[in-house]
Amino acid sequence: MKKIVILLLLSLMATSPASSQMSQFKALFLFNFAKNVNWPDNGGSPDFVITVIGNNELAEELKGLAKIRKINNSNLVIKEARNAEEISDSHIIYISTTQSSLMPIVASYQKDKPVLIVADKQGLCAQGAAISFFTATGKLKFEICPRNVESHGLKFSQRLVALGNVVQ
Amino acid sequence: MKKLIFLFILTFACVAGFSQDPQSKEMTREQVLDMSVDELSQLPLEDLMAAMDLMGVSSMEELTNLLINKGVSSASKRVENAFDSPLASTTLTKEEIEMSGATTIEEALRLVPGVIVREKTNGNFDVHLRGLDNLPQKNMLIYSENTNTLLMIDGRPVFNYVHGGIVWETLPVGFADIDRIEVVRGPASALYGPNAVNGVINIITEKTNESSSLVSGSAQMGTQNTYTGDIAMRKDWGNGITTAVTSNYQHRERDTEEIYVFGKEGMSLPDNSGGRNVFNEGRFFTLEQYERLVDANGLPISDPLDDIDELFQEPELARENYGINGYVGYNPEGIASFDLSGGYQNSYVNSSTLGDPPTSLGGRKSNTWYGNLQAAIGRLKLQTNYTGGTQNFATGDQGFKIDMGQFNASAEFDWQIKSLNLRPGVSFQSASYDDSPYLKEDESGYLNGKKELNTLAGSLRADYLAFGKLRLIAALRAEKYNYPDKLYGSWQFAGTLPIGERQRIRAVYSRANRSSFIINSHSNYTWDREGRMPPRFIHFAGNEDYDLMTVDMIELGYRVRPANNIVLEAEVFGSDSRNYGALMPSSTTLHLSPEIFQYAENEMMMLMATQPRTNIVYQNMKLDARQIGASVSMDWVLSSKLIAKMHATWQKTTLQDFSPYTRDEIIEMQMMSLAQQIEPNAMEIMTGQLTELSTSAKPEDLQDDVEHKSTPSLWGMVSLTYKPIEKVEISSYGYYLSEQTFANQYASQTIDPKFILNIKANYKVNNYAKVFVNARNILNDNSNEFAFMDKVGGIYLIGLRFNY
Repeated sequence: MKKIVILLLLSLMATSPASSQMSQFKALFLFNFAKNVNWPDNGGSPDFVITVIGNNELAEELKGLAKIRKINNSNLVIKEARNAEEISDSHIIYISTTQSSLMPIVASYQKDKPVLIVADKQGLCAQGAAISFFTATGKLKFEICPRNVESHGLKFSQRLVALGNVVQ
Repeated sequence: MKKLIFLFILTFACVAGFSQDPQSKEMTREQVLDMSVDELSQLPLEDLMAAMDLMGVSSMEELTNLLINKGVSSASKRVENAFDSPLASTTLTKEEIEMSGATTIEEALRLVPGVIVREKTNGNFDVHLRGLDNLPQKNMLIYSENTNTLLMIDGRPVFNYVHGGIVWETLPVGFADIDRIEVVRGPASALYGPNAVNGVINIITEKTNESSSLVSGSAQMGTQNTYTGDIAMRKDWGNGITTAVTSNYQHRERDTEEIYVFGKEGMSLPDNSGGRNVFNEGRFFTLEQYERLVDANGLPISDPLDDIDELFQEPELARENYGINGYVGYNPEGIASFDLSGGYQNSYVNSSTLGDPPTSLGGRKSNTWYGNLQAAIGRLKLQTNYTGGTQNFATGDQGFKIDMGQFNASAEFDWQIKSLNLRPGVSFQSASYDDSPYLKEDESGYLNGKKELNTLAGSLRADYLAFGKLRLIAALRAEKYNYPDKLYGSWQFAGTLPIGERQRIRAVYSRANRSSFIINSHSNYTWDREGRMPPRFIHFAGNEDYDLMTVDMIELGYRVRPANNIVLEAEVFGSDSRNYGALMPSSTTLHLSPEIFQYAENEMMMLMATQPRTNIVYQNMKLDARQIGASVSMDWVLSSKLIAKMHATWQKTTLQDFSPYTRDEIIEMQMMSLAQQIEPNAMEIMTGQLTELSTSAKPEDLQDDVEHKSTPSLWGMVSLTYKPIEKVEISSYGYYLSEQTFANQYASQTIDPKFILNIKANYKVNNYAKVFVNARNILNDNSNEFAFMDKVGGIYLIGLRFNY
């Protein structure tokens, strides 16, 4: 009986498979953001680097995508970091929900660098994120702060702005 | 009128409810499911979003984001994961509040760990954070009010600086305004200024954006003539301009018109046959009985100078209040944003009195308005606000009606330098209160003029992430008060350390203090007690030079997320609080003349003839309260259909240098010691050589290691929300309070443990409307939750929620 209770509890505590679908879509969104932003001379690097902080599942999805797709003829390279100091030169930095507290620190480290910082919690554009995912009424949405895109010397398509919730 | 409003809202919601759902998309869900990653990656962003919309965010994902990955902004003054918060903090979202079925903001706080919520009369609550309530005890009921928790709405203090505490019914906002309520437990004066002694409750209003419903709200009606409703109209006008108008209303009645009268030895009620019914214990009486009650000496219990009909204009009413609020947001392209809000509230409640009558119940009326401006210019945050209006803290009692004005202004700079965040700030507060406009020529108020409390403060908070993971925080704040004319320092040192991705340990040491309150510094009230038990006059006086109550606390915390759908938290705390004070007897004087001896046969009459006058002065006492405690909490999304939450807090408070005497016992001791000197000095009095006898003697014996029983030793909540099908949601929570013993100047009362079970069942008619039944205290346990107050019992409501 005890084992059944424990098994039941463990099964209830298990991660929902739905989260992998969400990671897949977030990876696709990041890929799409990359296509809708212009980096100055692609940073001079042959690779297009996306650094992921705190979401292994998303990193794996991106790695899968990197095998089949390129960004503006550059190879897609996925890196993972645990904190702001570990981040090497990147085009996109993604900060997971659970690592949101690093947002202002990452923004400070990346100040003036040509990088798109994408967070995963509503309200983080106020702390320097260019784009931040959130869920509302059963849908995945994103807020976008044009100021935090432009301050990094990036240009974005108006299509991106039109599809997001613009915050200042 | 209220029924008309209710019907209007009902009609509107039904019309909105039967409107059609939005149109479907071109792509189908099946098509999206069939697409490979390669194909999906070739979709333009619009189509990708459409595909994502079709797939939808799973309920589990949404619930996990809502309940497990919450944000909190009050612990560090910027949004961060509640899991990473350096302080013990809880965010209560509007969805959780709605799920719970709470009908007031106060009741919703039962969902927050560490919060003690006790109902006094239907819809009027005592709310304490962690405890330290009823200190000092054995004095007026005002000392049962929570003066240790700062309440803010969007950072604007909504606090009663007259007596200290929160006058809950004067909150202008309702559920339609609220986005979330954040509660920080533990001293937080270093972040928010004085009175955040045991913590802070920050009500954060919803920001209007393009996703906001144009009209949303709810209405419900139920037993005990309970009606509540709220409505919000929101519009995003584009170009960074948003507006919102909200309103809320409550009408709640008591199930009795009787009032509780404190017990007194030999208190009796003359009956029609010339006899007397004796009541040594306090109990509920009708107003007519209250007027006829006499004490053992045949003197009236009620104040003969009072007009009972003025004191209790509507004894059947528990609470009636309404509020309207307006919000304008302006976020132009660039670096600045502005949020302006303003509103008005009008309220009348019958709840525990803030005066000093022989009854526990008193009326309170307020009509106040406010304006609040918040501006963010780059990293500079500015806020200024003003709250004005009229408040009558004891209806029908002379001198309790005042005009109030409270001004706040603050500036903070948010400066991030790599891993270091610095936040310097300055703030100013001025609170003024004036009773003179409401006093007739021969009347005495308790201020007798306009009085002001001013506070100027400077603060600095440093938040540093060392080695990429160890977070260290130091916050310091210095405050200069005008009364007392002193400088106070408060601080907070905290550290958090992650252990892997899923665990956090944290530690806090902090100090906080109360501010000055008007009655402590400026009381000037002469209470004429003609026709009642002596003393004939009691004069209440403030003290402009005293020490502010201060607390030091150490806390250790642990959080763990064993899986993505569950978070557990534990905190252990110990605090030491001192510099308590109260309006306590200072001296008593008898006025002597040869004429008093005409009453030599009756000691009481002779004492009354001396017209005793007691001076009560606000003074510090040696009392020291030491509290240890622990809270545990859990949020668990078991499946997309089942959510479980719980929290429990245990605490023990021990008092050192505790005076076991009530205020009235000290007055009696002083009077009787003087009365005993009359006879030995009869000759001097007869010859006019002695015209006055005075004493300031007080019992000096103090007790140590006294267990403080006014705070329950254990309280907590367990909740379950079950969603068997898409359209049905059933949520229930039970709230438990262990035994407590409350003592004021007249009596003490032990409150039995109580378990309150609440259940709400929702049916979603369509995307625009839900109907629900809502049972508060469904087991109808009608024992009182707060000493000497009503036995409220179960309240059963029906209602609807709408958004369009």
